[in-house]
Order: sequence, then C-alpha cells, then structure tokens
Amino acid sequence: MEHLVVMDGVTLFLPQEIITNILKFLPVKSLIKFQCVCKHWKNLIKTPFFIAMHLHHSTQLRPHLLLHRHYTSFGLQLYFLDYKRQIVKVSNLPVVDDKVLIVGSSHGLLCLQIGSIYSDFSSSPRSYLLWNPVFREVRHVPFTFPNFDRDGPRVFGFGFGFSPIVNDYKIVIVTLYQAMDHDLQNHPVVYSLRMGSWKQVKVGILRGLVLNNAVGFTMNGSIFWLGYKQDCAVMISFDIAMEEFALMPMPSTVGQDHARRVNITEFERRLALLFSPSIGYYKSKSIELWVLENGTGGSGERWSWAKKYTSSPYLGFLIPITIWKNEIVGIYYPGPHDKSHSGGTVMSNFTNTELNVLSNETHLIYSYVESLVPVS
Amino acid sequence: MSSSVEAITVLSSDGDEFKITVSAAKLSKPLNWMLEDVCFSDDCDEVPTIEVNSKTLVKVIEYCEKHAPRANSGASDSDAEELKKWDIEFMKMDVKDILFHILMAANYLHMEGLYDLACQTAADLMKGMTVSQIRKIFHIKNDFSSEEQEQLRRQHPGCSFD
Repeated sequence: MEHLVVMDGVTLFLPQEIITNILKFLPVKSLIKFQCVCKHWKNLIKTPFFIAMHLHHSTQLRPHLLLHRHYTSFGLQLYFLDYKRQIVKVSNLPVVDDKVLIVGSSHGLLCLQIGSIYSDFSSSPRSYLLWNPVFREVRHVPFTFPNFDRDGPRVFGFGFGFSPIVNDYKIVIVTLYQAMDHDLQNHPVVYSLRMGSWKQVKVGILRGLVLNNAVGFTMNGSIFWLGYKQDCAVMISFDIAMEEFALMPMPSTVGQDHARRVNITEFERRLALLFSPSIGYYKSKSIELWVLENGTGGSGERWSWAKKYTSSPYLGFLIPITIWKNEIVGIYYPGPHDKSHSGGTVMSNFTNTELNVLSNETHLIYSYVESLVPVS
Repeated sequence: MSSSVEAITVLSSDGDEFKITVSAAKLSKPLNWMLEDVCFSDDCDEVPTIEVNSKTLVKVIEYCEKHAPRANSGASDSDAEELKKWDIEFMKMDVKDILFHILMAANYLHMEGLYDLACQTAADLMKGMTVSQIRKIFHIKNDFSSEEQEQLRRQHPGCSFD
C-alpha cells in the first residue's frame, strides 16, 4: 500500500485536517482498532468535536435499527439491523436478565431498565443502565428517588434522550400512583447524566392524562408519547432542556379508537405518525404516514399535520412501527388471506405492498446509530 | 460574464494545459472565482494555473465534467443512481497512486462531493489494514510507551499495535 503516498518519488504527507475527515468515515470498530496508531489519534477520537462530527456523519450514512426480541425465556436478545440490512446479534451484553426494557436509544447510547415493569406491576424499577454497545462502555444508574416506593407506583412512560441546548442526556420516568384521595396521579421524575441525580419535575399537563405507549420517541431534544385525555387522543412532548411537558395536537382522523395503532416516527427530519386506520383485525389494511408541518398561518395553528402517504392495502395486518431508509418497518400478521408470507418483522415501501421479511420473530424496534459517545 | 465562453484553458502545476468547461469549473468555488476574475474579459489571454499536478488534474476535471450536468440542473433518482455507480468505478481507477493527491486537490479546490468521495474511499481501504500498515501510509510513528500500550490492551482486549 506504500504506493498510495509515493508519486514521482515525492512523499505526500496529508494535513491533519484531511486525516480527521477520513477518520470520520470509519465505523466505531475500526476507530477502536486505530487508537493504537498513535497518541494523537487515540486522543482525537475522544474529543467532543470528533465524537459529534462522527455521530452526525454516521446518523446520515449508517442508520441502524435495534431489534429487541421481547417476551422470551432465553434471556436478553438484541440484534442490530445494520445499514446493509443484515441482522447481527449484539454480543457482550451488560446484563443477561430477560426482564429488561429498553427505555430509549439516543446517539448510540442505550438506556436499559433492569427489572421489568411488565411482569411485576407492583414493583418499582430497580436500576437503569447506560450502555454504548459498540464502544462497550456501561454506566449503572441506581434508582434512588426518595419515597418512590411508598404508594406502589406503576411506571407508564419512559424516555431517554439528548438535548443539545443543555448538552445533557436525561432519563424520564412517568409513574402513576394512587394518591390519598384514591385518584390516580402522574408522577414524573428525571435523571440528568450531567448532574448524576434524580429529581421530580412538574406534573403540568400530565394531570389526568393516560400515556399509551410506554417508551417515548426522542427527536430534536424532545421526547414524545401518545396518550389520551378525556377520551381524546393526544400527543405529549417533553422538552429535555426545560423539563416541561406539553400537549400537541393529533391529526383529526386519529381518534381514541385508533390510538393503539399509531406510532411516532421521523420522516425527512420531521416528526411523523404511522397510522393504521383499520377497523377490525382483518379489514382495510392501508398504512398512513402523517408529517408535522409548520402552521400555514391561515388556521392560526402553530403546527399542522399533513398526510404524506397512504399505502396500498395489505393482505394481512401490518402494525407499522417506524420509518427506516424511507420504508415502513413493522410487525406483520399474515392472517387468513395471506398465504405467501409468514409473520414477523418486515419492511415495506409505500408504493407497493411487497413485504421484505427481516426476521420471522416479532421485535421491539428502536432506531440506533453506532457512536463514540461516552456513557459518562 | 460572457455566455459565449464555454470552455477555458488552465495550467497544471507541471505546466500542462487542460480544457475545462465553464459549467464543470463551477463545481469548485475557487475555480469559479478564478474564471470570473481572469477569463471572462474579452481581452483575456492569461492562462490561470491550478496548483494540482497533471495526473491528478485529469481526474479532477473528469469528475467535474461528469457531475456538472447534475449539479447545475438537478437530476432524477435514476440519474443519481447511475452517478453513484460511476463514482465507484471512477475511484477504482489508479486509486493507489493518486488517491491522496485527489484528496489534497478536492480540499484545495473546495469540491465537497469529490472530497467526501475520496475520504470515503480512503476509509474503505483503511478498514482492511493493520495498525502498522496505517502508520506506514500516513507516515506516523508509534509514540506509545510500553506501559501505555499495556494500559490500552487492558481497556480494549484484542487491540493490536502491529
């Protein structure tokens, strides 16, 4: 390979600026290997500047999905669906317990809850783990919120994400507990990585509200959940920097009946909803994609939802989970009308109803990107 | 700016003359400024020099001419797909000899597309190399003490300094 730099007998030294830019294109695995080249490279890949540049680049170039095979008795099973659509089993798991819930995935860091709330509703979570699976760094976050167990809280909402404004990662836990007057009340607590501590935050608009999906969707410094308030479907946002909850409107056709078939995702860098408006399990199976747009001014609304795509109807039942590489990723149940597919985790685009079966298993699905972001 | 000029002549650092179309030259900001400053006055007889050697400049111009139609007018997805395939083929040619020179030229000429393409190609080549091969091509000395090497090995089992 020495011919690379020798031309006309003259040795070419690349300036550091160019070398840094080349390193940006390397996957984390290679960068770990090339730490051993020299001290400068080892220090470079730990600088916030390089970590941020590499993260930004990898997010564009190599978006992954993380698949969590849930409800198994074989312990924790995680898989990456890499950008070449290959499924790779995640090794070196920090825990083997199968009662693990992925609270969120942000900038290559995963937040895991140890001790599932699904199997044992009366117990509070035991602890959390922050984990960079490719950099193989783990940080334990004990759950130390005082008096948390007093009223037997049940956790109904989780989230994990980053805010560039405060340059901090936070874990958000929304629990529901029974107050003295027997009313159920939301009780949100937040862990700041920077502060290294838990604190209670204002209930605000969460009062009287029920969260639908346990794990929030993180995007642009906010975490989003779906829920309902007084029989009305709503979207809830949590500003990671300000630590405030807010209500957001939903598309008018998404009523409470449909709320369980809606998933929050991202499309063309905007917040989006995947919506399966099917009535009855095996009827009308088109998927709709709605995108949140800036208000046009006429309606006076700050935000408005626009329907971007409606897919052709599927023979079976597709629960759309997320958008990845401009395609729907979801869980498919073939039902009685589709003899040609088995169920499982599938991909499909909006222009036809061809299904690309990724796995015959059903998975919980998270977006993921390999990064050098440290857990501390 | 006169619209009658379609191609101009430039000199490489070796003193060879090359023709480049105006639309292709627009892919590079410095080239574009150079054209506006020097070559569009009617009495222009000055040939601008680009500080890139002939062998590299041939490749840079080839890239510019290929990418110019799309950069100037936008293109369909099928064009983009075709261009991607062309890029891969383009980078396969003689890469070992002039890849680093193309990197330097693309950086100097502010050609973002070619710069990223060359960086990606270099990174892809590096993936399969050992640490000592990397040191060799970048002319880097191993400056770790044996204690530091031992410490890194403990942190990342399996990492190699060779």
